[in-house]
Amino acid sequence: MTEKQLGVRELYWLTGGISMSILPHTLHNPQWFIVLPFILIAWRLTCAIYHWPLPGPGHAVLKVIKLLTIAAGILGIYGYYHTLFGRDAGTTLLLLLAGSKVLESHIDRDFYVTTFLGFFIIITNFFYSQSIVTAVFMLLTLLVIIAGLITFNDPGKRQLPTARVVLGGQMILQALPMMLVLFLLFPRINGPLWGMPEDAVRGRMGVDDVLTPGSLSRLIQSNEVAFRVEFISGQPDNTALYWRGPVLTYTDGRAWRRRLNNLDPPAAIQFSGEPIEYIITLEPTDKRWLYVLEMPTATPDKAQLTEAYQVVTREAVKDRWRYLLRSYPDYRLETASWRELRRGLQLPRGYHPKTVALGREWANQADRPIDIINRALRWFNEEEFHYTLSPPLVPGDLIDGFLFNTRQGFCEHYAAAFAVLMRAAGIPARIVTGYQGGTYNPVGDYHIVYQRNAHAWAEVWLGDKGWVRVDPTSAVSPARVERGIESALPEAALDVPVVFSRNQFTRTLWLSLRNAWDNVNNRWNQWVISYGPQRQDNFLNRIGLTRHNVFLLVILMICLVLFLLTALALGLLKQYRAEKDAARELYNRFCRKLSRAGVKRLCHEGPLDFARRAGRKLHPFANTIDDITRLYIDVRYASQTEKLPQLKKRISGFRLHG
Amino acid sequence: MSTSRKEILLPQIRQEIDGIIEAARMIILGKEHAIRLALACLFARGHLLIEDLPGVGKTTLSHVLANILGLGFQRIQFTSDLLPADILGVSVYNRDTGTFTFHPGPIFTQITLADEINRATPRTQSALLEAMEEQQVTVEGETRQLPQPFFVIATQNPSNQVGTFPLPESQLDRFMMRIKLGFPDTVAERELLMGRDRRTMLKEVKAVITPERLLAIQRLCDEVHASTAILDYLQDLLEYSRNSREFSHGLSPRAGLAILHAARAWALMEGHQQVLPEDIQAILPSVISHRLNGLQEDERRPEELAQHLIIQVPIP
Repeated sequence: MTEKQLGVRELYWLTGGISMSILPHTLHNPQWFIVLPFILIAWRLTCAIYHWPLPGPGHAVLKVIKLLTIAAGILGIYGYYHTLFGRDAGTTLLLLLAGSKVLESHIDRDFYVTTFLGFFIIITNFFYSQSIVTAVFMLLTLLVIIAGLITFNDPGKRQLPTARVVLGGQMILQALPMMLVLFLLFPRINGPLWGMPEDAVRGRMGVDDVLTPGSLSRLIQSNEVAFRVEFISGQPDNTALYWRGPVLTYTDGRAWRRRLNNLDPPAAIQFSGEPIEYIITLEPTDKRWLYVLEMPTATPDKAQLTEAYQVVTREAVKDRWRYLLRSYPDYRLETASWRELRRGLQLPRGYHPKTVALGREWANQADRPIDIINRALRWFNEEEFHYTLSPPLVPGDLIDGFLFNTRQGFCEHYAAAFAVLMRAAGIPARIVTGYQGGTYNPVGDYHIVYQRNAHAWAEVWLGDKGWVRVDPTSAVSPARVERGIESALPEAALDVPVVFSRNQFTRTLWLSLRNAWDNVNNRWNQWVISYGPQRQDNFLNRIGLTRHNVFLLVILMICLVLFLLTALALGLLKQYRAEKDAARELYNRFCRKLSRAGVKRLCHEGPLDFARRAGRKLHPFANTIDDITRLYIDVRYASQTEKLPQLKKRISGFRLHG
Repeated sequence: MSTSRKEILLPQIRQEIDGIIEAARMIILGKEHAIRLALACLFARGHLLIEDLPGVGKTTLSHVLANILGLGFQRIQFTSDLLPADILGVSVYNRDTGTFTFHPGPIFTQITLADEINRATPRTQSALLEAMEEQQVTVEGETRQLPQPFFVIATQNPSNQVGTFPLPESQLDRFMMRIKLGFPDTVAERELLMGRDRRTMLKEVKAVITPERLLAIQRLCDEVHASTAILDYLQDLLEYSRNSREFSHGLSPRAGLAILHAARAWALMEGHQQVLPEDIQAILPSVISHRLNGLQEDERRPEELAQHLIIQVPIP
C-alpha cells in the first residue's frame, strides 16, 4: 500500500476531534501545561494551511523548538505532580504526547494512530466526570473523529461535511446493539479489578470529621449534590431530616474531632413510633462514613455502627453508593458507657475561661440539666445572636470571642459554643455533623441533599432520656430547620440565576427545569453509572436468567455479539445484492422498452455500444438513451449506488412513443 | 488527496494520450487501433509482442513510441547465434585498474525492441524473458535494476517460416498482449507511397510527454475503478474459456490479471472513470489470442476464437 499524505481537509477533522477530546481536561486541570497540546495542534494546522515546513529532517530549528516544547511540558507536569503516573499526571502527559503526535502526522499511518489516541483520550475524560453532559460531549467528539475517518477514506471527497457527520452518526447507531449487549452482559466484578487511579476522588467537597469555625459555611455556597434520598414508606417532616454523619467528641480548644478506632459496640437503643424506609444514593466522598437519617436500625453491608451511633465504613467511599435503610425518628439512646460520658465532659485546659465560668454559674443556679439546656437556648434566642454565613473574624479565644463579642455565627459556632457550655455545666455533650433538610424533587419523587445543607448540631446526655439532640441553631434561626437553609440565608440559594429570580413565574420555571434535569441525572447515575453486579443480577433475573455465572455470561455475550455481527454482515450483503440486482433489473427494463421499438440488445453488447447503436436507430431519443446509459454505468460500474433512485425514475419515465 | 489529484489530472492525461496517438498516426498510417493497443499495454506495465511479416512497420512502431514518449530506445536483432550476454551485458577485465567492469547490455534502456525474437535459441530467449518478468538483471551474482519504465516490444515472424524457435506457451504468457499490424488498407498505402521517407520523419518526432508523466499515467491506471459487476463479467469470461470444451485449455489466473490491467489502461485512454464491458472487449483479443488455443481439429485462428468467446459470454 502506498503512503497517503494527509490533506488539510483531513487535518481539520483530526485536529478538531482531538481538540474536542482534550477540551474538558482544561476545566479540572487548569495548569499552564494543559495549553501545550493545543499549541502543538494549532502549529500543525497552521503549517498545513500555509504550506509551512514542519519540524523534521532539514528543519533542525523547528525540530529543536518542538522537542523543547515537549520537554518543557514534561518537566512542568513532573514539577507540579512530582510524578508522571496516576490519574492527573498520566492523563496530562498523554494529552501532551497526543498533541505532539498530531504535529508529526504526515501519512495515513499517523492519521490512524492519532485517531485511536483520540478514542483513548475520550475515555480519560470519564476519569473525571461521568455526567450526562460529559457523555454527550464525548459522543459528539466521537462523531467528529469518525467523520474524520470517513473523510480520510472518502477518496472522491464527494460527500458534504454534513453528509459525513450523518454517516458517522449512522455508524454509531449501528454499533448501538453491540454496545448494549456488552454493557448489559459484560461480567461486572465486585471490587477493584481495574479501579480508578488512587487520586480519582481526592479533593471532594463535603462534611469533614474535623470541625473548625468556617469548615461548614464554605460548603454553603456549593450546589453539588451530597446524596439523594427516595422515601419508600413514611416521609418525615423537614424538621426531622437530620442526616447523621461524624460525631465529634474531642476538642482541643480550636477544632472538634471524632474518636477514631472506635471498636466499642453501639449503645443500646429503643425505637418507637412508625419507621421510615428510604434509599440513599451517596455521591463519592472519599471519606470513611455514611449518612443516615436519625436513627437507623441497621447498617448497610461493609459498614458498622460506632458507640456514638455513627455509621463508618471499612474503606473510603470512592464510588457512588446506594443503600436501603430503615430509621425511627422516635428513639431513645438509652445507655452509654461511663467512658463515653467522661469523654462527653472533656474540655481543654486553659481555653474558653468566660464560657466555662458562665456554664458553671448556670449549673449552680439550676436544679435539673434540662433547665440549663433551656436557659442556654433562651439565651441564644433572646440575646443579640445572629445567624450568618459570613461571621466576622473572632479575636482571641474562639468560643469566648463568639459568645461575648461578635455574636454572629453559623451552625458550627452555635453547636460548638453550646457543647462547651454544657460540658462546663457538667452535662455530657457532643457535636454531630451531617446534613439537615433536603429539597424535594417532584419530578423524580425524591429528595436532594446538597452540600449547602451541611449542618452541625449537639447531643446532650440526660440521665433519664439518654442522648438527646439539641439544635442550638434553631434557637437562633428557627427558619433554618423548619424551611431549610435557602429561606434562612437567601444568599445560600445561589442556584437561581438573577435573570430568573426576578419574578415568581421564571423562578418556578427555573426550579422545575432544574428538578427535571436533576431527575435525569439521578436516573443516569443509577442505571448507567451505577450498573454494577447488583443491578446486573437484577436485570438478568428479570429476563429469566435466574441461575447464571460469569462463564455463562461470557458465552452468552460472545453468542450475541456473533449473532449481531452475522446479522449486520448479512444485512449489508443483502442490501448490496439488492442494489446490484436492482440496477440490472432496471437496465433490463430499459432494454425491453428499446427492444419493443426494434432495437434489441445483444447479450454480449456493452452498455455504451448498445446506446450508440440504439441512438443511431432511434435518433430523436439519442440523448435520453445516452443519459440513462451514463446513469446506469455510474450505478453499476462506478458503484455509485446513491444514484439508483435517479436511475429508477429516469427509466420509469422513459417513453419512446408519446 | 490522490483521487482529487486524479480528478484534476484526468482531462489533462486524456489530452496527452490523444497527443501521443495523433503523433504516432502521422507516421504509422492506418494503424490507430494497433497504436492504441500498444499504448494500453505500455500503460498497464505489460510487454508487447508484435507478430507479423517483415516490412509492415513493426520496428517503426516501436521506434515511434520510444521517441514520442521520450524514452531511451535500443534494438536487439535476435539471431540464432545471439548469446544471453549479448543482451544483458558482461563484466570485462580492466587491465589498468585490475578490476572487472560491467558493461551493460542493450537491455538497459527503457524501450527494448527484441526483433525477431523467435530466431534466437531458447536459452537466449529465456534470458530476455526473465529480465522482463523481474524488471532486473542478475549478472555474475550481482543484481542490477533496469531503468523505469521498462518496456519490451518483441517482434516475431509467423512461426511457419524457416529457421525459427517458436516461443513456448509459458514464455508467451509473459507478454501482456500480442498484436498484429497487418497490411495497410489501400488509402493508407497510397498515402505511404506518396509521403516522405518514414526514417526522416522518425528523426523529427519530438517527445510529447516525459518519462515521469508516463509513470504517473501508469499509477493512475491502477486506480481506475473496477466494480464487482465488471469482475463478474471477467470471471464469466475466464470460466467459459475453462469449461466450454472449445479450447484446449482455459485462461490462467495470470491471463485474468492481464485482462483486468489492460482493460483499466484502455478505460483510462477512453476517458472512462471505471472499467466498462466495452473496455474488456476491446483488449480481449490481443490479450488472450496468444494464450488461447483451439482444439486440434479447430481451424479457426486465435483472434476468431477470442471473438467467439466475447459473443458467447453474456454481460451479466
